[in-house]
Amino acid sequence: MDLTTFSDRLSTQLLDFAWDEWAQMGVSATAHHESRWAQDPEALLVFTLEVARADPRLFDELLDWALHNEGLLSVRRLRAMCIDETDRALVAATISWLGRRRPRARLRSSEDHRVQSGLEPLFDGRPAVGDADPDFAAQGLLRPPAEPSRKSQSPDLRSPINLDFRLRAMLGVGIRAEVIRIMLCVHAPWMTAGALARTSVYAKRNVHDALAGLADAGAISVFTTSGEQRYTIDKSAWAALLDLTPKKLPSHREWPQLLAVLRTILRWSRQTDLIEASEYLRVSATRQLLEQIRPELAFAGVKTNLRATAAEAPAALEQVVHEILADRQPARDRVK
Amino acid sequence: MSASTSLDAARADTLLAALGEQLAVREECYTLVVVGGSALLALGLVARTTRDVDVLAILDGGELVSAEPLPPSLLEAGRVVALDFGLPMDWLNAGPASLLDLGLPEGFLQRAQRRSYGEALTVLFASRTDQIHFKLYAAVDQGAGRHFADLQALEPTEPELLQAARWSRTHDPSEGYRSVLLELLTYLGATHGSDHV
Repeated sequence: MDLTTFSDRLSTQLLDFAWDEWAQMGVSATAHHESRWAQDPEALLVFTLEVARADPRLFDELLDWALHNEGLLSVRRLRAMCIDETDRALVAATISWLGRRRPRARLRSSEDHRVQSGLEPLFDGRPAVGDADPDFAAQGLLRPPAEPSRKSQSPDLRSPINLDFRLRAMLGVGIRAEVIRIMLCVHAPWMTAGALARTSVYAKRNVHDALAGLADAGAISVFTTSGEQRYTIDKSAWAALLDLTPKKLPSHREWPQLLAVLRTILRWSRQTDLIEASEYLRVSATRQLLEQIRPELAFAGVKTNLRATAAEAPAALEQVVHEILADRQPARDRVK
Repeated sequence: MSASTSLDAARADTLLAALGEQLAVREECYTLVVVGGSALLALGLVARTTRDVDVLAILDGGELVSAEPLPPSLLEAGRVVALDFGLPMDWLNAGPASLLDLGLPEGFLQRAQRRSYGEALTVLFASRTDQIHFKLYAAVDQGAGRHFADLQALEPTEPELLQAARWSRTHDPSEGYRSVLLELLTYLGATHGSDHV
């Protein structure tokens, strides 16, 4: 297994995916695919902060987009999407950068803003020269001062990928918009508060309270089976409200889990000690990685070879990446 | 890295090399004393396959210590190798560790054959002489089967069988054991067994 080749190819695939998604959401770029799913903005943003370390232009366009559309984002969800310290540093730097340009209480951080010593370059293979951006430097990341390009636009709320923004425009940025998006898009007759909490990355208790409110308002229905409360939604009524047919509702994907898995794989593939390890240790590490990400993949409905030996693991890992990134529709084949 | 669960000499070698690499990653270092089928295969004494690697003891600071229970870091490295190669979790086990309780044949460590699997793992394979001791004891204890077949494959001489028989009596001095032992010795051509055990 040539890990460098795998990592480079994965990085290219993920950059293509991220550019395509953001281009449909208002970033200044041309989309080459049209997504049939509703995207999860915070999950995609945290994912892109890692992926775009290999493409400073995407990184800076993402910052510009976040500044332009800051009111559509949940800072709390951004933080909840973090799976490790690297995510937390990237998100904290981004929120601080936004807060410096758009002073709002929700963007204010209690963290120490002093520049750390021994900064790590933010962008892969590109040592920064000149001044360091203070918001990134405070998180130990070295990059030149980032300035907004002012090229980003608001998302097209009629586009399937932007259903979440449309619901946020209707219901506000919060749990209610998330649970309605999930219940409209998921192919399931009903959902529990636990499943909705995991999918929306909100605390179960808060999700339960939001569901109770939505049920009281008649926006969703609740019934109890075997002592468990189950929630269901009238997709036809909601589709009519959104001026869609139920069949035109976008599909659901477990983005928080899937995008976390993809950046876990990307970071794993860049470990220097693994690149220099023996062939056996590399394939063994690949199998162990599959073992590590299997629960998230299982939750997201991505099949994995449970019995893959180390020798079979590289192919199994490639298959996982393929399955997550599959189902993208070329833009020229857009359904009218 | 095929998923077959039986081990021949080459595959056992591959597994121990993999175990050595996993231990090195964990910065752990072991010298294992291995007996049984995998040791016979490693020394080229039999041609059959086996299903596991039997650890008799661990050499620690020049002293043999019981392999039961296997240390957690060794178990974890063994678990990873099992999953890597599609093996049962007990492919590396301390099954014969009780042999250490009543003592090994005199000169066991000096006769053992040392093999290194990287910097983190050294294996001491029980010599042919010592395997005759263990296989005779096991054949008497468990009757005809794999141990008896191995004992025959080792083609022990009468003095070797008698030496092994005397050692085995230190592990089981019962009359019942002695009677089966004598029958087996006779069957194997050691006709003066009763004078020695």
